[in-house]
Amino acid sequence: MTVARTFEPSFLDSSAGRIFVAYHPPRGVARGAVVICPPMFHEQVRGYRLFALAADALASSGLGVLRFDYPGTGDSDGDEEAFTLDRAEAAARAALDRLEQLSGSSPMAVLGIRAGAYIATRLAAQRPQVRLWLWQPTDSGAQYLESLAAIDREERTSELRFGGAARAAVRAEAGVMVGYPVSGACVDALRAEPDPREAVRSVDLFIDRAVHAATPNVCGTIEIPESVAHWPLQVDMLDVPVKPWRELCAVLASQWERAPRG
Amino acid sequence: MDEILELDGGLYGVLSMPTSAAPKKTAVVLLNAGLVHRVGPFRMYTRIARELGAQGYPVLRFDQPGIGDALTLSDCSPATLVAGAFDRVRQRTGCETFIVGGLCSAADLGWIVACSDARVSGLYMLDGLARKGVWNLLARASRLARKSPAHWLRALSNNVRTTARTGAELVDADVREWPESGADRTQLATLLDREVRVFAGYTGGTSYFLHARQFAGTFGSLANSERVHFVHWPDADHTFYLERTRRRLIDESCRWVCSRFP
Repeated sequence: MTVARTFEPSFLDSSAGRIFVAYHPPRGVARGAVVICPPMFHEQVRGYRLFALAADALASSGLGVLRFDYPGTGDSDGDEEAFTLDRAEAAARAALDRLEQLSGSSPMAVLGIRAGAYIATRLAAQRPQVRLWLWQPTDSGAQYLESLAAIDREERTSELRFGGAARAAVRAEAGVMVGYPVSGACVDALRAEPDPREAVRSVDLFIDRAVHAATPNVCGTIEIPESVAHWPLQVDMLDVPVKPWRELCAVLASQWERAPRG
Repeated sequence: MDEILELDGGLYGVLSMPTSAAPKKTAVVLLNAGLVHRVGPFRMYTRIARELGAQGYPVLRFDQPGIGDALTLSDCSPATLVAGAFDRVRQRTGCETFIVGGLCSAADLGWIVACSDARVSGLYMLDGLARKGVWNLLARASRLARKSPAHWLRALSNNVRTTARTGAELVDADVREWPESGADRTQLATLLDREVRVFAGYTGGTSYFLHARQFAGTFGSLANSERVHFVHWPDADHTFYLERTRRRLIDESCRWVCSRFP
């Protein structure tokens, strides 16, 4: 049986090494293009299918979408210690350039998911004509690291994960973040990251459970229902709430014409 | 070096090609661990694939329909899709024989494929098939004996509530794709007669495998076959959350492949 795939996976050379990319060409009349900066650590794996589905939904509404994995994550080259914010930014820039080639002169947006907001805001600062969308962005890097440490503590003391005799022996591992090896340089760089909402002049679209409508630099907002908001807290891959997720993505796609930039 | 490999039914995989001067004649196909996409829990599949690639083994990782990048479902059976993946790997690499499997549901599907496809020369099972039996009861009793009476009461109460809600306590065989009890030994005997090598690794993170002797309890004298490599890691959780347990898994897996499929 032949089933057509709606996107094209490939590898792309960047100054930070070869990265895995998946391009979803726009279906119907092309309206614009979006590059997705994925979340980090366990959220990258937990959110992978969710944002593959999101990309597909955006593409079906006429938006070309490019997904990619940061160096040292997912299918991109490099081991986990190769992951740094600077390399992630270099990869994101290469992805944006590639998407620009693929989509011609279409208006573009960069969507930063969770800690991917740190990378997305860097890109937006360099390319003022590119719209900035933030999806459940993390707070400052220091707060984000604290939240990861709390999740790590919870996992290491989880009877569900380490039931029985093993539990008592589970200690924190140096150089590991929620199960992922990470370099000290990366941790230091994360700690220095400001709150992404405060790092930019304006956010074109803010997608979160409790939207900060009163935030002066936010142009548009989408409120996420509780049923699809909890995924960042899940270290293990649990259910994928496809129906409400698709509904949410349809709302996201409908926002393209609002507050266009450039 | 990784590359994209097109598969049947609109699927694709990431193929880690041999980077050593002496490519091997056996390829490895890693199947989805539950709902986790092809990188595996904490990227363990990517790491195994690249380390085996460096030893000369092509390794394919791909998403089954409904998981990761396989956005749509398929009418084909999972075993048929895996057989198709073998065909594509053979065309690309020339390998005629395969090691197949992975963690949890991947071990279950690997077993099914091994039983139905004569090209399988290696079965790689992590937290795969095992029956509880008397050793499991003894291990549970031993654990309970170390707990407080309050814990016994809670456990009993939870058990009663679950049974009342579901009508009967769910057992692992209800949620896993395992052969009928009794058929497992026959099927393993057939595989071993075919000279299939079996890696059977068990963690301390499942509810059903609590004692190393359950393995022999499940498979009888077949468990002692020189073609079977059994490992029990009670200090590891089901998805190898700790880097030290993951590193040990990767090393042990690569050693097994290199020694049994030179």
